[in-house]
Amino acid sequence: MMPFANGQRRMVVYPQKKPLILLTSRPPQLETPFSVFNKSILTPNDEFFVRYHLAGIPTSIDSDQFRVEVKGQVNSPLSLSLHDLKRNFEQVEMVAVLQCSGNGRGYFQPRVTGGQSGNGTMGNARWKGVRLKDILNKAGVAPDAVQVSFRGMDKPPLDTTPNFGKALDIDHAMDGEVMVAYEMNGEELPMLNGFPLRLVVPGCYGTYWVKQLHEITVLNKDWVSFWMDTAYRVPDNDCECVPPGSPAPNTRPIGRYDIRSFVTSLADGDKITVGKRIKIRGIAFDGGSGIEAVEFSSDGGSTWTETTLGKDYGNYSFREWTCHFTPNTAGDFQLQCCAVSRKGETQPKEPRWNPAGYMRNVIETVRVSAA
Amino acid sequence: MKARIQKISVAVLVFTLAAAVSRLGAEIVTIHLPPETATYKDAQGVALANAQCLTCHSVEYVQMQPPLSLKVWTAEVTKMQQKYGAPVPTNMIPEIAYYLAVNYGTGAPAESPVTTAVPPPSEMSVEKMATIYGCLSCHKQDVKVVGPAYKDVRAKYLHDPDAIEKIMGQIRHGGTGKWGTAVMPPFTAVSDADAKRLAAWIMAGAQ
Repeated sequence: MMPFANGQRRMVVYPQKKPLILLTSRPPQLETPFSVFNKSILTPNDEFFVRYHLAGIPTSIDSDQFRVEVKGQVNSPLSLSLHDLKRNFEQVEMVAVLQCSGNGRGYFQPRVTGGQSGNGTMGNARWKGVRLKDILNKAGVAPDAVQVSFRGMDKPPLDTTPNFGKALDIDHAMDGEVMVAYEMNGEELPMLNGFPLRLVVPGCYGTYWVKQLHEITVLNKDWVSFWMDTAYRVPDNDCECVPPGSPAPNTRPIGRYDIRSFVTSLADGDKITVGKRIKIRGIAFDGGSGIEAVEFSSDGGSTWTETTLGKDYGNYSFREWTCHFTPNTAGDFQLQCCAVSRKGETQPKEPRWNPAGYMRNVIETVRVSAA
Repeated sequence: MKARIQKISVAVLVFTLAAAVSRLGAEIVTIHLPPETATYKDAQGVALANAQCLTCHSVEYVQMQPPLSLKVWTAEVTKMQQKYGAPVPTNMIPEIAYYLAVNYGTGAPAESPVTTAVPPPSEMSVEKMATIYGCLSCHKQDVKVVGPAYKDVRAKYLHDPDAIEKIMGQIRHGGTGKWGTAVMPPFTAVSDADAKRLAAWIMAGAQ
């Protein structure tokens, strides 16, 4: 049960998954229960969220027959098997957060249409694969290249529905961080997370992380696609927001994560003991500059204290934070945390709003009571 | 039904001149998605929702939305038609939006946009019934749309003495895998008698 209208949810078991929160069954959209984020900094593959757009998802793949095509404005088009990727390119690893653009959409006020998830459509994994830059260099990118488009194997049920795909500017595609990954946390990808190969775009919203990636096309002009030109767009201004309830006249494609942080060791409604010192634990992440500090408040943001950051797994990873807290009186406590990035970005006290319900990053509140 | 994963490993032996042996793994990963269970609320307009809103997505897409007004539901159905290419006839949009606003929204004006009384499917011609239940949103007689062409269904079961029962089961329970990856949702609102008529119609050539 999510704390918003029409928030009734069932737990379901899908292939290669532990019980997850069912958002939709066709195509599958499954949310990670928030308690999972308190167990480990890396989100287990079998509890990692699932989000497809189109009902025609691949359910059977021969990984020996699988190929990813590299084509368009290149000197020599490539057709690469998984074996080619593993043998002929440098293998790289990176820990990076994958977060859905609409993570937390259910909490938007006023509410907006779309997938009504809580904050569980995110996860942190160690991705292993090959740099996109190395693949593009092998193919030889034409000097007039502008963008690179990516397609997965998922298909719409009807030919009239726009096929899913995304594009990145050529400089972004060649930044040496974007990769194609065939492993997640030391194992092959679960089918529902993109087996056998997916795009990893560190610090950028999940819509770009194309699953079952099988077409990479270098273009000498901007790619024209519903999924870039109409969907997944945010207000084209500094805050990427508009006054709640109003339309966004000018928009641009969604980009990097806003900074976020969460308390993970306690949930709304938990009971704590007066006078007993407890350890509070949580996570924070941003779009790639890294987490500088996280502050904690037990009084709804009136006063703040420093927390201790955990091991640094890299700028794109969840960063653990911990602190201690002793409730000295009985009653309700509003626990909050607020992160600051290495480039000085922090979280707003009031939620920023946009019509599509993307990029939530308000300071979250966990309400507990002490007795 | 439990979700399953299947993995087939085939070891292939390759002999070189030096009689060295290496193994290459040919590996097919197959998953079986659990069946869809959510159905549209049985109320005036449900046949239209089944016919127009099940082709591309399951019912939870509607159920989980916040309580939306008739105006917003109308905009949503229009978006499905215009942005996502759903073949929803424009003249049906008001009635679909009305059904959604009443059953999954903030309610709607007392006056229904329905202008003509629709008889129960069981009193219709079988072809009309197939339209109302939504069969023809995914199936056609001669060509594959989302699901298989009826002529292919007929050919598959032509010599099967249990053809009628199997097709009835498919209609009532849905399924996937027999015809590729497309998923057919369960049509629990179809009575046994209607499912039998539909199955017989398909086996007779769906003409």
